[in-house]
Amino acid sequence: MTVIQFAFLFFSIQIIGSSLVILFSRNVVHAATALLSTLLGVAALFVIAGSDLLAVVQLVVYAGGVLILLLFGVLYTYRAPETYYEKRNSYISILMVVVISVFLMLLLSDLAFNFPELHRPPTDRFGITKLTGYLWITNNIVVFEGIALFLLVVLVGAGWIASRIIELNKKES
Amino acid sequence: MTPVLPHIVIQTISPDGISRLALTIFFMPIITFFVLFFAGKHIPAFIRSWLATIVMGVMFVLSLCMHIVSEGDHLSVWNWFHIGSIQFTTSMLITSYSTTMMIIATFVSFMVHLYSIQYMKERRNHSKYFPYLALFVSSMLGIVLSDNLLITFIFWELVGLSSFLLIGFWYEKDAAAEAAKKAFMFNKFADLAFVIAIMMLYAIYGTTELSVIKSQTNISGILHTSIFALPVFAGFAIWFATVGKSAQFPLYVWLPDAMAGPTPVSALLHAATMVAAGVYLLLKTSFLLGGWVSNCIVIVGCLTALLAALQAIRTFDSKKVLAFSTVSQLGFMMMAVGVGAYDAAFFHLATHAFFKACLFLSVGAVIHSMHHIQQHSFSHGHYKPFDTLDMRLMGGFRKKMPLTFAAYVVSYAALIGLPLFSGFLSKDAILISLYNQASMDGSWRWLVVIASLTTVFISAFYMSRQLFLIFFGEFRLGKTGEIYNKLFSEIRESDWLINIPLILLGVMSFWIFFSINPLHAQTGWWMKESFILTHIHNTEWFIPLTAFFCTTIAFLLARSIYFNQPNILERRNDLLTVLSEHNYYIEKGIDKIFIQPTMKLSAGIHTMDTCIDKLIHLKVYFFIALAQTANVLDIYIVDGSVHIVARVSRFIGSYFRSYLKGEVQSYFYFTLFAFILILVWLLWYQTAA
Amino acid sequence: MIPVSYYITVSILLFGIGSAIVLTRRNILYVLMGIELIFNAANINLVAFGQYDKYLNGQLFAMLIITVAAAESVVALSIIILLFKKLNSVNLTEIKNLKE
Repeated sequence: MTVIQFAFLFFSIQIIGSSLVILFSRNVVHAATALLSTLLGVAALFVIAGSDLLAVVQLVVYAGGVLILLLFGVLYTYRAPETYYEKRNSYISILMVVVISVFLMLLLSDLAFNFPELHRPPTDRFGITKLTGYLWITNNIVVFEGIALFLLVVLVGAGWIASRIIELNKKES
Repeated sequence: MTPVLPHIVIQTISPDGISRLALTIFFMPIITFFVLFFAGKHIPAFIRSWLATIVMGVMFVLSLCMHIVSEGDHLSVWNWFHIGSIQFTTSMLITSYSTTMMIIATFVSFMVHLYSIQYMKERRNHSKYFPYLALFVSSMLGIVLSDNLLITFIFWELVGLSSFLLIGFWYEKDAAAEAAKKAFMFNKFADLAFVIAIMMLYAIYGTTELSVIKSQTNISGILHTSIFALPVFAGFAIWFATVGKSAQFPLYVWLPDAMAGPTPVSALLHAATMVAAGVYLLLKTSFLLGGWVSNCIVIVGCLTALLAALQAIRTFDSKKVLAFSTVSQLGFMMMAVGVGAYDAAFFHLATHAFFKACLFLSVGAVIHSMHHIQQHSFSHGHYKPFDTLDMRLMGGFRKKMPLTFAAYVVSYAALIGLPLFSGFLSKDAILISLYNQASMDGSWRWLVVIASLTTVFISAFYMSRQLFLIFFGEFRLGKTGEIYNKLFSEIRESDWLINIPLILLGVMSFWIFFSINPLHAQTGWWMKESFILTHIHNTEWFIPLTAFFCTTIAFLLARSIYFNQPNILERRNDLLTVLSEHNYYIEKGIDKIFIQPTMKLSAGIHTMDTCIDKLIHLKVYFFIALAQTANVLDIYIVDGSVHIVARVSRFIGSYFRSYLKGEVQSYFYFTLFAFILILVWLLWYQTAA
Repeated sequence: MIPVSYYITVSILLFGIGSAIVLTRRNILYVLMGIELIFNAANINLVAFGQYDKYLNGQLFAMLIITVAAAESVVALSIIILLFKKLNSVNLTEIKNLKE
């Protein structure tokens, strides 16, 4: 097999394995670390699929933003690990995974097995950054601006909720 | 709109010298009235009274001059006002009737003014007495001079007003206020007929000028065609107005009660002038009277004379006796008018004015002395009030007040109709005319003659009774207390201001002023020069002799009963007394016939109105019930349907919501499930189709 | 290169595991992580098919998804912190406030 295929296999195993860790782990911090590993694997997969920009965005936003946030949340709500012990059926989890996966596989089989192959990604020589930027501003500008607005709303809303909470807390105390 | 009234254009005539003099005389009391009414309180009483009296004196002298100088008729017509194109005029007519009437009115009022100066000095007197008298005199002169029925009506009402004000002059006394109201009410009721007469005449002739109407009316001709023609009814209405003012039956009941006013007022108004105004009006409108109207006048006049005389027999109030006597004599005058002897009626009016005024004033002097006795008894501590007018308490005044007694006797003789006195002439003139009419037309007129002779008898009886009770015998009040005897012995003759009118009026009661011959009026200058004789009077000896005979018998009868009456008489309890005291139940009859039904009618209307109110309430309740029903429908049906829809939706929603138990992961499960379904639909069925 | 079916397989597996995490874990933070995995699975799918597009629509859309997912996780985390303050627990069996 070629290097690409090997890399693909390696990273996909990383992804699946890390997510399984999340699924079966009892320690939140272990799970968070596994999440990090998953995200990294996904980023690598993006590169293999020909979108280096997206891989970097993934790393920056997800791994460097969302994950950190999640870790903050873990930090804030941390209790002793004994409390996390929960008696649960792991079989149900595996079963669920299998069921869902098989089902979806069946559904998407037409898609999966009828697409043409590609030999190299249709990018320019220096990656797709320039092209992506150009496309954002020309073809998909509406979406671009819409998303910007959306993010603004989210930011403002979150800030407002936070301020309300601060007032409420002050009242309570 | 076509005009219904005849359109008449009346020429204006400017007044000549005599008319101007008459106007001057007319305006003098008006000016006096305004001056004294508005400035009277600030002028001392002495000046007030003498001012009024002097004005009256000047008026009398001027009217005397006018009567002597004027000959024939003087008519003046002025424009008064106009409504659109209709012109209203006023007019003044001066005939020998008018000037004679003016002399009578001014002379008697002059005498009364002189009398009042002294009389009112010691009674409660406020500043309005002389103004009211001036108002009365001016209104009386207005009636005398006016030739327009509208103007006459205005002054007619004014005379009624002054009568009201003067009768109720001592308004603190309940009796006086009630009497004033009664007088005004009865007069007003009769004046309604006057207004109707004016309306009728205006509708027929288009004017209310008497001279114009007179020239266009031929009453006997109208009566030949139909006895119910409108001018005849107009004449009837005018007569009905005089039933109130000149106190005929049944509207005479105000006159006895009007004696609650001061005595000079009674003398002027209710003896000499005001009550004679009615007779004067009938004389002026005599062209409207004929046929059944005249018969009506005679019958009512006869009834009046007889019934009033009967009432006088049982009366003990000295002024009321004179009041009944006035009513009775007015009945005589009306009887003369009824048979058409207008000159006889006017003659009796003139003589009656003088001797009745004299009677009132002399009785007033006696009452004045009685009042003095009462005042002195109060000041001596003997506080027991008595009725100063009561004849039973008087007696023996002949020796104490000889002048008053003389004046009284002279006028009493004139009233009774003894020869050598004026009353004899006038009364017999009336009786003769009645007899002539009876002998011409016969049947019921003989009853009238007999009734009038009976009245003569009764008049003589009660007047003699009054004479003996007041002036002869002992002073009966002294029987109740010794102090009265002592005070009685201190009585002197009245002041000269009271005596002069008595003397002058008494002198007028002799025969000289009316006819040279004391026994026959027909040859006298009064009847010949001043009047146009409408009937030739036959010389009749029968009637005067019979009348004199009746008089003498009555005098002897009274003398036998009352001459030396020592005791205070008791009230007799028989039918005549009861009838007299209740005025023949006239007032009760009016109450029962007119007032009670009106009250019942208004009470009935009130209940009907309450029923209507109840019906309206019912309607309101019905509508309220309707609104409540609509409200209920609105709440339960209209709103209810909306609520049902909402409830159904909520029910369905809550059914489906019950599947969600608040577990977030189950929400994810459902979402996933739905997602897969969508995928199935998208991919399998879409591509298949 | 790599056939797209491989990408799809990986994506489906990741999606399944992520759903299993969401459905079976009791801790909210685990659920959050599971949601992130689902997002990533979708991203992989999009980018895989985006290779074949001249206008790179797939990748652009994936970028959008990343953005949205980041924003959403921010909001979710703040809610979780509030809930933790109120209820002192991150156990989903105890957080049933959405129940009617």
